[in-house]
Amino acid sequence: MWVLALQQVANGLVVGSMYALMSIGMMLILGIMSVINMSHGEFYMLGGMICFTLMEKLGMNYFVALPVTALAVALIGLAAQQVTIRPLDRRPWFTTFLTTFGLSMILRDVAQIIWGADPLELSSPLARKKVVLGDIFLTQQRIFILLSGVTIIGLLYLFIRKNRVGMAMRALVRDRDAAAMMGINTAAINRLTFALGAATAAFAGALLGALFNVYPTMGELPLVKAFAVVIMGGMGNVQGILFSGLILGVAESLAASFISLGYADAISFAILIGVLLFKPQGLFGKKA
Amino acid sequence: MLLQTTDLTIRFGGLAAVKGVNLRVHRGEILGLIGPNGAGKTTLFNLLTGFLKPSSGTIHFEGEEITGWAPSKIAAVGICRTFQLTSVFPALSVWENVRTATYVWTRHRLLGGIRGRAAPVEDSVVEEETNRILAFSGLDANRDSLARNLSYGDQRRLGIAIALAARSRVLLLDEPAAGMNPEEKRGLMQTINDIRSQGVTVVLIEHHMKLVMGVCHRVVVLAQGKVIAEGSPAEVSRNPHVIEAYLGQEVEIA
Amino acid sequence: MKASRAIGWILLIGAAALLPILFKGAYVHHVLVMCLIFGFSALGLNLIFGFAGQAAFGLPAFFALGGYISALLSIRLGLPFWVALPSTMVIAAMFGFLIGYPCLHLRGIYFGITTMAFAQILYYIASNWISLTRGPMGLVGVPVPRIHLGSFDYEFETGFKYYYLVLAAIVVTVWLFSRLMKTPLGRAFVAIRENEDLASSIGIHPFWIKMIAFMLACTITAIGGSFYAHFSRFMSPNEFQWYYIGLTFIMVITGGMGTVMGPVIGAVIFTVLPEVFRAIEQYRNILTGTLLILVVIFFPEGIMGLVNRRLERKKAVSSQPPGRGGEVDPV
Ligand SMILES: Nc1ncnc2c1ncn2[C@@H]1O[C@H](COP(=O)(O)OP(=O)(O)OP(=O)(O)O)[C@@H](O)[C@H]1O
Ligand SMILES: [Mg+2]
Repeated sequence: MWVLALQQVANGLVVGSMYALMSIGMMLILGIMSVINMSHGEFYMLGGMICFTLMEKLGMNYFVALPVTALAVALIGLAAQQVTIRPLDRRPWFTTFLTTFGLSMILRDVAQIIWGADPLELSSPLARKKVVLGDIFLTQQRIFILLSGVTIIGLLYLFIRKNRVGMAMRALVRDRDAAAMMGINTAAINRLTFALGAATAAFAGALLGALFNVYPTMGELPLVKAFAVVIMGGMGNVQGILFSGLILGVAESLAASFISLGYADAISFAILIGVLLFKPQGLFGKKA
Repeated sequence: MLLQTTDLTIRFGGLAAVKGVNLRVHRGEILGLIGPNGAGKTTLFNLLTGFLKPSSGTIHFEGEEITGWAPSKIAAVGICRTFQLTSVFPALSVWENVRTATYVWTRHRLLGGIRGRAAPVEDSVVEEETNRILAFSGLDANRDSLARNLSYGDQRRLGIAIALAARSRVLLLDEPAAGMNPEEKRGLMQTINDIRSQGVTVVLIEHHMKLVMGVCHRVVVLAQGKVIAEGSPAEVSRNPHVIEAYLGQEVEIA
Repeated sequence: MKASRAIGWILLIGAAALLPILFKGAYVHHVLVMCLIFGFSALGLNLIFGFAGQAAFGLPAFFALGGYISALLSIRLGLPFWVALPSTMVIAAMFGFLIGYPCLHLRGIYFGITTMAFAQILYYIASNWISLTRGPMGLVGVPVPRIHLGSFDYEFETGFKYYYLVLAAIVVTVWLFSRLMKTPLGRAFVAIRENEDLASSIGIHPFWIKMIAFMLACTITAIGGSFYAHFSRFMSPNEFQWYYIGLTFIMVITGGMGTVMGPVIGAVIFTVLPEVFRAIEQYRNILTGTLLILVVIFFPEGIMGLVNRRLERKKAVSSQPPGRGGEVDPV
């Protein structure tokens, strides 16, 4: 019983670190551009799919394929931003919600045409090597996921805090118009933010894809999970998001083995609703 | 006493935007509320109309305590306001704007039958009243224009017309002259006087001193959330505290 | 003006009534029925989104919910359609209250997302409560509406007959809807959309008025679902797909948000189009998604919005003295 619980906590932390990673991308897009990116889940999916192709069709090494995938999806995100978001500057918030929603429908079916509907196996070289830690064991892939997740989040944190571009981003969150007046190129920041956000999702997809297989609809749930984490963690708060992602991962993992597999995914929705109802402004730090 | 606050205070975090204000509004007067930017004037309106809940203190209207009531309930007893920024329904025509604002006294038509409230109001009565208010506000010619296409001054007048259509008994106007040209300002002074002669009490926030001095019976001066002076326009404009509060602010004191 | 309006309506209804006679065949009739059924979804969304201005992204789930409730009432309790439909409306309104109560305390994006989360939870219940819903296998054998009085026995088993049943229902709904929009309550919906703070300052209680709008929207959407269940005779969790969220929004926006007839027109267009493109079924999401993007960017006013603006312009120009206010928003 305890061993199982401990094992599930460890597994949950691994998955949760990826929720946190893609949530930071979503949070940046929401905070800086005021856009709810409904195609975030599809960037996650594309991460898995493109990584698969790079490895299986081009024979690329997994560790080379990972950054190439992230770059490719960042470019796709950049193009998507130009089409679905840029034309809607100064229009009501729900317009970009709807266009990115439309984009997610398109990407999902395009993926199905390219890769087919069936799950594909993304085989990481680390997938079969086990590491025993006391009573529990993890594959090397899981450990690799957790470590790279935490590392990338750390780098993002430093980038936002210390880098000049990151500071400009934060200025946009506080006051767009003032930032524009100070000479910050807001259009360029928007492009960078969206590309960066897409890349975080792609990373998560390529890393987790090696655990769960990859398929065109794999992004549907991660989208909601990322949103739940953003709401739990609060806007502009990287540490808060990291903790929230880990908590969600662990909660799901425990629920799946102790309650029911069918409802484990419903947890993120319940958390989403609960947090919005009981601490909406408090966790956002920004009025709705 | 029509409207009265006692030790009204609100804090946002550490900042007390309104502190210990004892405001008295007499029936049938035009009361000016002035003060430098950020003095807490709009915040005081928000408290009076229920958009903000006070941290402490009370508000009474005709002897009844209305502290903490919802804005819609306060509006229903006759305290109406205009907003400093947008005080119209932008995508509706001028006529629809005013017609919509008759909601408070016409709404019982749908639910009244069930709840045994007041008798239904005839459509013709509502339309007559709508037309009367449009004519009174000088918006007759623009009745079919969309509110967002009106000039700034006309939008302000429409804001007042909306509050009148809601049968206000106390009308709180937040900087109604902002963006008006001199001619429109003179028209506004006339309108405010006309509104009062219909028996509506007016509280007026205004930076334009000529207007305040010309139309108000009494003036209350707010600075940093506190009442620093109170009296006739002439008394107030001579008060050294007031002049000091305004120092460093570019305001045209008459 | 009034008389010409009435004549317009009668002509429209007459034309709608002729359609299944002019265009024969079970398949065509099936499509015609689906146009009207989706018309209810679009009307419901238009009420809460187009008129009251609340982006209830989860609302289309009430279509599936209504279908499930109606199907369960008739299969598990043996209720005839004529009892199941009004019961569904009442139950959907109650669900609307339960979901609306927490959600409507939130504004804008957060309201929209929370309704969507609730919609997803309904989907989980439909897929996982096997003993009630049979999960992904779905509910089969939903009975068709039937009038059985003594020796008189009439079944709405063909698309042709069903069409007239749904047409009557949607005509009544649209008529009630357009009446509602002229009452203080209907105007209050629009007031909240236009300026929520100003609305409360003239005595409109935003929360409860939004609640009424949301419950009505849920009810109207659920009517469509109920008709759908008794027409296709089958309900599965598929009907909760997010595809329907996108589809319903396109219908409403293309037809014209906040107009009475617009959404019905939008529903007809976007029920027929996927059928026209049936041969390329696997591209349906690509098509829907592309159209959604194009419509939002280039056609935000919709068909009826454009028509009304033409009329407005004529009216405004003719009734304005020159040089005053007659200008129309250039956007
Ligand atoms: N909701 C709020 N949250 C936090 N602070 C607020 C809020 N509303 C007002 N304030 C603060 O309270 C103070 C008073 O603001 P208020 O808008 O009442 O001033 P005002 O007298 O109307 O000024 P102006 O003449 O510029 O309109 C300001 O410092 C403002 O920043
Ligand atoms: Mg102010």
